[in-house]
Amino acid sequence: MGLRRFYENCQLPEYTGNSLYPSGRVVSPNYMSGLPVNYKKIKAQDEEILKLIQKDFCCYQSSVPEEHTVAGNMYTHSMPNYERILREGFLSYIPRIEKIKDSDMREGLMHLINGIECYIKRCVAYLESVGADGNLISALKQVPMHPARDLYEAVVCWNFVLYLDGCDNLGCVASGLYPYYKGEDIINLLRNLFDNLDVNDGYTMALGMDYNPLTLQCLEAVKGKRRPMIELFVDQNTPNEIWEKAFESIRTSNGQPAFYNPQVLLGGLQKKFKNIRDEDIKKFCGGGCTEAMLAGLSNVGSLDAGINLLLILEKCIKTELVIAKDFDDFYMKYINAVKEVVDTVTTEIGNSQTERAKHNPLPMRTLLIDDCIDNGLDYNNGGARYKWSIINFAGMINVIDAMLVIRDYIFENNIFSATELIAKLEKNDKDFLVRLRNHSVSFGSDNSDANSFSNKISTDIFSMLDDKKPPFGEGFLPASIQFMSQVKAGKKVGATPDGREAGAPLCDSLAAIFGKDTKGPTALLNSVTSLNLNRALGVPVLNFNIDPDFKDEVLKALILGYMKQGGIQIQITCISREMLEEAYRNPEEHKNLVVRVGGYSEYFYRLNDELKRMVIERTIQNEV
Amino acid sequence: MQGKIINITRFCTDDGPGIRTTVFLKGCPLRCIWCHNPESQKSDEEQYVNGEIVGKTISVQEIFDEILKDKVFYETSGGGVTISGGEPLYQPEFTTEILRLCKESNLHTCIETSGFAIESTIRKVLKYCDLVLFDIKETDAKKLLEYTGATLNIVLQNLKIVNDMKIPFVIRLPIIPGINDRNEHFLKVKAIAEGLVFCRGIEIMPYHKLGEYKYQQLGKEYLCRNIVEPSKDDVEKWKSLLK
Repeated sequence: MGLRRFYENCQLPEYTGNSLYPSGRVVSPNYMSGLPVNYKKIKAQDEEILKLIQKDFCCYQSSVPEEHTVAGNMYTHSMPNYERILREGFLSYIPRIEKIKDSDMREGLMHLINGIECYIKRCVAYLESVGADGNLISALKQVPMHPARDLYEAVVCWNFVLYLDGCDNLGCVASGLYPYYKGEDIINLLRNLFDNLDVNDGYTMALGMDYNPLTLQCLEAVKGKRRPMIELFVDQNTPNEIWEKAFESIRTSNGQPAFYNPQVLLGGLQKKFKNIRDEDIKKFCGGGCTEAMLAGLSNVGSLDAGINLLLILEKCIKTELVIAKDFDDFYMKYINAVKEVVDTVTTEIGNSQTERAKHNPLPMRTLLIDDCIDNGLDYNNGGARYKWSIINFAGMINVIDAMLVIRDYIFENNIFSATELIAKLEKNDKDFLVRLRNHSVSFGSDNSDANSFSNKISTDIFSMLDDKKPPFGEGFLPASIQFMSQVKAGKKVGATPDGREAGAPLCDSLAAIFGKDTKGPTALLNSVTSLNLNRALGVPVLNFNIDPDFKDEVLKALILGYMKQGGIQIQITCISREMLEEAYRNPEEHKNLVVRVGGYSEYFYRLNDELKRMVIERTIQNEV
Repeated sequence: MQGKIINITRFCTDDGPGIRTTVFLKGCPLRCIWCHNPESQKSDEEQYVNGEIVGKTISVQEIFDEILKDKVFYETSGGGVTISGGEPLYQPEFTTEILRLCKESNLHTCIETSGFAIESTIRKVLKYCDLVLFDIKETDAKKLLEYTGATLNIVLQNLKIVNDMKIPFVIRLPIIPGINDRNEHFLKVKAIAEGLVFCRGIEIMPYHKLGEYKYQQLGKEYLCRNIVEPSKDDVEKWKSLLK
């Protein structure tokens, strides 16, 4: 009822002459809480009522330990089932809603449908009153309440539903719109759609292996744009025109698209979750920073938690290193400590999910995502067809390098003692840290010893989630995704044996520690694929910088070679160091410069100083 | 078997097709005055003024292990292995053994050579070669001898052997303004290439000064100090002479 009243009374977005409506920055209901609540206003009027609201409705609190929420804390991205709404229209949802046994849910969703219908009528009346484009008015008289009849109505509908869901993710646009395609050029329309996502800080869109002419139009439309972050699936059979268009876009320095491995990622997900139907796996679209989900069909905790692996190592060094018998003993103590955290975190995710199911119904997502209506269950109460929980593992590369230093310097070669190491780390001794950073056996330069250790520790850690199951979901998926979280997470950790100074950021997802990928891009990619990536389907992100002068066939070969060895995802920033330095000095003059950082793309000028320096220092992989 | 190298560089994209690993051997019979890799001339290890040691002795197996690391990228790019230098024909047994191992693993092989060696040497090495990048530094015999120390007859005879052995090759022309940027030089090379059916093209390698600091580090005099790097227009003009 609250949402119905919202849509009956909310202020309508201004019509600006755009070919889509709504457009521009629009305040939508918060999709995470389900209803916009003006806490300040309520508190000013009656503090007791506020307490009641918080207790019974909106104030479910995550109980995941705060230090292990790197990049996510019971945070859930999602994307509506756009295709079904295009095909059927909201009015056809009513008979399905009427079959829901739970009267509260049934009536709630009916109110919501009525609210949306009222909202659209208000929009149409407003657009008529301001003399808006007749085609737009006509389209909104049809969609989304009735099925779309042509491509234009389909795009108008897609845009409208995007706003209903708070402008989070676009899903599979090219395949979803294709049934309506009759040879039209909709590049400008797509640009408007993408701008709407961008201005509302929305996230992703996927282009699957079922390429069609709209795949190319999407790649054309995203040129120079920060969002959506496009996820393009490729393999050795991908047509050249797709590669060419993708590289044209990358040359516009927007970091778009990122490239995804269908065989390992989609095949792996179906192997892990045997209930995923063949037709549904094609709906893969990583939400937010690219957390694995299926558009319109899933409720994925993305990210439910982020385990700070380096923080755990720091504690272990202080308590276990001096008494460890040998490196294997220390390693096992560390692995056991991570296991303990994993146990706690997964238990608390389960508790939080249960609380969320009780206190945090999400009517809009229940309406937009299958099979909530047909299952008669709210989105947060297990209604979606597919459910899993993603846990981020942060600082993996720091831990690998740190462990190799501990193994080689303390246990194998007795270069210094555990006590000396601890004392110098506590002092944040910079000369000592440089020495540690220069250890030749490290991640990023395809050292076979380092690769073998990377495989072992990543397998040991990622497999900790194998047998665990959340109350609402088929299982947990490990991921390695940062966005800006590596900076905040690093502030909690003192100096570490990988040579990292106290408080410095953690590594960016799976990229090598800066300056350690010295043997070129193939060596870096080999190092990354030495990790057990097929156990981290949540997704494991790799940021890769390449000089703008790259040759298409070389970059294509790098991407395919990476994937052939098990690489799952790679996102590419194509800006020269000189350009970044210039943008660092004169941010106002380079407001359109987009870089890939963590799992997403962002305007360079918006990054804080630490992240700007991180991006600049990241090795640019020049061709020799 | 062991040999002398400067380094092994992965992800080379200008030493033959695709993504390649290039092994830079140490030791060369020529002394080109414009050489941008002066550290590759002597076979023995040398020390830069900054203390860095240049060159090392390494086994064929160690090199091959490094080469194999990028096998997947050779496959996805149509790339492979290039033996450069220095001069690969200056360590023929070593070069041949590396190439033989590569061929046994179905890797594409290439050498970059000045072609200055005795016939039996080049024939031996070519047995395991898929492509030759053949430098023709000068087509005037006197000038070639003066500026590099090589004998033109031997070079051209070996080029013919490459062609006779049906090995595709690309002619590479280091062009140094004021020394070999003469029209007649380009026209002579064009005429030579036209008579050789396995020639896959002629590439111009414009003079650059990137190696100058190495002369300082080796305590050697850089005789090309006053030569100006050619402009893009110069290079385009040279290219047009080869069409």
